[in-house]
Amino acid sequence: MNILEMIKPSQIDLEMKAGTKDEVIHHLTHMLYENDKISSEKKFYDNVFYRESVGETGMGNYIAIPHGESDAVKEVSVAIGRVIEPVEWESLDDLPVRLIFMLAVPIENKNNVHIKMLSQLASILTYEDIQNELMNSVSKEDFINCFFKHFNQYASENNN
Amino acid sequence: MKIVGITSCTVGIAHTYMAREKLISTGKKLGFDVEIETQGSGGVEYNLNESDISNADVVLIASDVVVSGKERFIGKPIVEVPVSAAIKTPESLLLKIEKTLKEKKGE
Repeated sequence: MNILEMIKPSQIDLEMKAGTKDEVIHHLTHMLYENDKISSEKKFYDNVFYRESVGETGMGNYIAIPHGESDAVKEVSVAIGRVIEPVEWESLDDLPVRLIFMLAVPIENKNNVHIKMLSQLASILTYEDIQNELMNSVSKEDFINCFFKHFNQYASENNN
Repeated sequence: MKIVGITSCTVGIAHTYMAREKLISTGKKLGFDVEIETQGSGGVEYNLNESDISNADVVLIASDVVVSGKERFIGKPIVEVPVSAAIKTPESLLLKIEKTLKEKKGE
């Protein structure tokens, strides 16, 4: 499987209309539902909010990676949103966030290849140059190309 | 300084791997040899091998949950921190570990 099968244009909104963390999570949850990745919006976002209550998912430098592990998830997937105005979020550097990667993982039948892709996705988001490129990409195509390039480079160097 | 460690978190799909990446990239920058095993949703990955462990000066466990296989580190100094510390301030964490080890050796 190719990472592009996971980073689909229909699961990316770079001009997301959301002013709060709740709105961000609802919007991204809805995107997953529309793409048939989850069977229940309520069940999934309840799980994401539960995870939020356990600890920060704002990873620093305006990026957040909220995630849910629920039996409402049909397939390992990711929804990506970017907002113009930073949104308040519990984060490790106490800054608000602009770019949000929401990860969805099922409880049973985990496909390890897909889980590995998510872990590599999270890994590349620790690099400031990649964060900045994604933050500043001007179109969805540009965003996907940038992600694809860095992801493949990382994966080729780190497949053990 | 050679560090081996484990990262792990509650769900095991984001923090575990970000912490590993931060520790390794920061280690490279500081000139430390860092090997990190992940215990995440995908199971144990990047397994530490015996020679890595026996050559290590210190063991770093960055985790919010109980990790498995700690018996492998018997006899080694072990530093335990929350996984967020490895993501948030990896450089000060590694430098502090180095300083503490040097002080111990100087005693």
